[in-house]
Amino acid sequence: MKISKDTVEHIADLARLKLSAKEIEKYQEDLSAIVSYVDQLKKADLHNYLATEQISGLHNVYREDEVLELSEEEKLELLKSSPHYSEDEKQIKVKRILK
Amino acid sequence: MKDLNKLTITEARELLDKKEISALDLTKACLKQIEKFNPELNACLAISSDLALKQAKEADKRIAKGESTKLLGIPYLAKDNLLTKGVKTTAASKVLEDYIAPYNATAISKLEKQGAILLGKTNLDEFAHGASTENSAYGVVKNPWDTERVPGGSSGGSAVAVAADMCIFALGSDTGGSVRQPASFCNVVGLKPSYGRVSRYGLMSMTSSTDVIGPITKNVEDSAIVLSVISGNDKKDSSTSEKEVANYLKNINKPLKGKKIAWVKEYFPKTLSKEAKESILLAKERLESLGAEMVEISLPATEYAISVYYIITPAELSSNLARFDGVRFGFNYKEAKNIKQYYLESRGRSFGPEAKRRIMLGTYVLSSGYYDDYYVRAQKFRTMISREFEDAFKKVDAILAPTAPSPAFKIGEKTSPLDMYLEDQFLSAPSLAGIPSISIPSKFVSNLPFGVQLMSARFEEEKLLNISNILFDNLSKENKKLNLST
Repeated sequence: MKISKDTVEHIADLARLKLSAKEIEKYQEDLSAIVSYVDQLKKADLHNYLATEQISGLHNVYREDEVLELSEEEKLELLKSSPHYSEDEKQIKVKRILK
Repeated sequence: MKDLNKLTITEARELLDKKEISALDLTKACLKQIEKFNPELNACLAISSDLALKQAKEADKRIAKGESTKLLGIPYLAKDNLLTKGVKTTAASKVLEDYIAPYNATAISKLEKQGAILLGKTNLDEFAHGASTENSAYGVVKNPWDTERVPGGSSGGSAVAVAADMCIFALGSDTGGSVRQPASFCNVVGLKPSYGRVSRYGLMSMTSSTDVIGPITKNVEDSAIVLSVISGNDKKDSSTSEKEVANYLKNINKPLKGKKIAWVKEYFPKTLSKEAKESILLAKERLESLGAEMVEISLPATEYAISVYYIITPAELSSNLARFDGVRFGFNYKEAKNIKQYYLESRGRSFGPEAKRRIMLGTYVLSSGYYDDYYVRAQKFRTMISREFEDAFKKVDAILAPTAPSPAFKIGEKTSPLDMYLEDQFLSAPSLAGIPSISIPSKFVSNLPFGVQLMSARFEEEKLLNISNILFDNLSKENKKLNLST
C-alpha cells in the first residue's frame, strides 16, 4: 500500500516532528514498504482471539496512596532536569499555551 | 592467574573472598581495558572512573570486614538507557545530550546495595531502536571479532564490553531481541527474563509491554547470579510479579535426562544459511547426547511475529517518546515563536532518523481510521502467538531456535529498514508473549560467533538456566577465544 505525501505530512504534524521535504519523501517510501509488509495480517481469520491487553498475568494492582516526601535537594534536582528551570523563581517557565 | 578483567563473576568472587585480589585492582584492570580498546570499539559512552574507584575502595572495606554478597566488588557496565544518579544518561540520543538523572533505576539500586561497581554506561541504538547499534547519535559500535562488522543491537555496547573484557558483566535491555541478538553476534551470553521479573523503574520506556532488563555475561552461571540480584517485585513498577525469586544456581548443573526440548519447523526457513542450520543442528545433537528428548512441534503464528511486533512497538514508543517535548528534558529550540513551533522544531531537530521513522509509524497505526485495522488486529495476533507458546510448554520444557538468521553483518550493509526489522524474526515472538529466552554461543558460522536461543514458559528461568548452562558447557569446546591486539 502506498501512503500519500499528505498522510505523511499529517502524521508528522500529529507526532510534532518538523521534517524536511527530503525526510517526508524518505518516510513516505519507508512507511509504505513497512505497511505493505504488515498488511499480511489482514488475511487471517481472528474471530477466536481477543486482543491482548496485558501479558503480566496481573489484574488491578493496588497500593496505598502514600505521600513520599522528597528532600529539598532532590526536588531541586528534578526541577533542574528541565532546560527551562528558572533559578530565581524556582519554577519551570514554559511558553504561553492559552492566548 | 589470567588478567583480572577476564575473570567471570564466580572466579572473581572466590578470589575476592580469599583476599587474593582486591576490588580496587579488579576495577583498575577493567578501566585499563576500557581505556585501551574503547577508542576503537566505541562500546562505552561514559566512563565514571572516579565513582568506580570510590565504590571499589568501599567494597574492599566491606570485604575486609568479612562481608560477602553475590556481587560485592564486581565491576559492571550499564546500558545508557538505564538511569544512573549522577552519571550522564543519554540513551545515545541528541535529545538527552547532557541529561543527568536525579535517581537510579531499581536494577542499578539493587546492584549498588550489593556493592557492585558501576564503571560507566554503554552505547546503544538511539532509545534502543535498532539491531546493529548503527543508530547511536554518538557513533557506531564495532564488533571486536571483526571491526568492519556491527555488534548487533540495540545493547551492542554492553555485548562488546563483555566480549572485550572491559567489565565482568553488563546490563542490557531487551524489547524484541536487544540483549539476545548482540550476545549472539559477540559470542557472549544474553538473557531476556520473563516480562515482569525485573523492575522497569528507571529504564527509559520504549515498548512498555515488552521491555525487560537483562544481563549480558561471559557464561550462564553469571547470568543466573545477576538475574537473582536484579529480579523481584517493585512497588515502583506495578507490572512486576510478586512471585518469589528462585535460587537460580540451585539446579543449574542438573543433568538433562528426561527433559523435553522442542524443535520448531518454522524456525528453519529456507533463508537460513546451510552453516547457520548446522550450528543449530549441532546444539540439537548435543542436547540429545546429554539425555534430552527432542520433540518436533509447529508454531504457525511465527510468520506473523515481525508484523505484530512492528505495529505494537512503534505504537507504544510513539506514545512513550511524546514526553521528550523539550520542556521537561533535554534538547530544545529556543528561537521558536510559539509552543507548537517549539515542539515541532525541538523534536524534529533532535531525534535521529530511526527514532523518527518509528514515531511516525506508531502515530500512523494509532491514528483515527487505522487503529482497529492495525493496532487491535496486531493485539489479536499477539494472543495467538502467546497461546501457541502456552500450548507448547504443556508438552515441552524448552524450545530451541536460532537467535538471529545470520552472524554479524557489515557496518552499513543493511540499508532497508524492513531488512533490519527481519533481524528480530526469531526474537520478537518470545518478547510479545513475555516468556524468558536466552542466547548462548554455538559453533562459529563463517568464522564469526553465532548463538542459539532457548526459551521456556513464563517465570521458568530456573529451568531455562539449567538447560542452557549444561548446553553452554558442552558447546564451549567448539568455541573460540577472542584475541584483541593493541
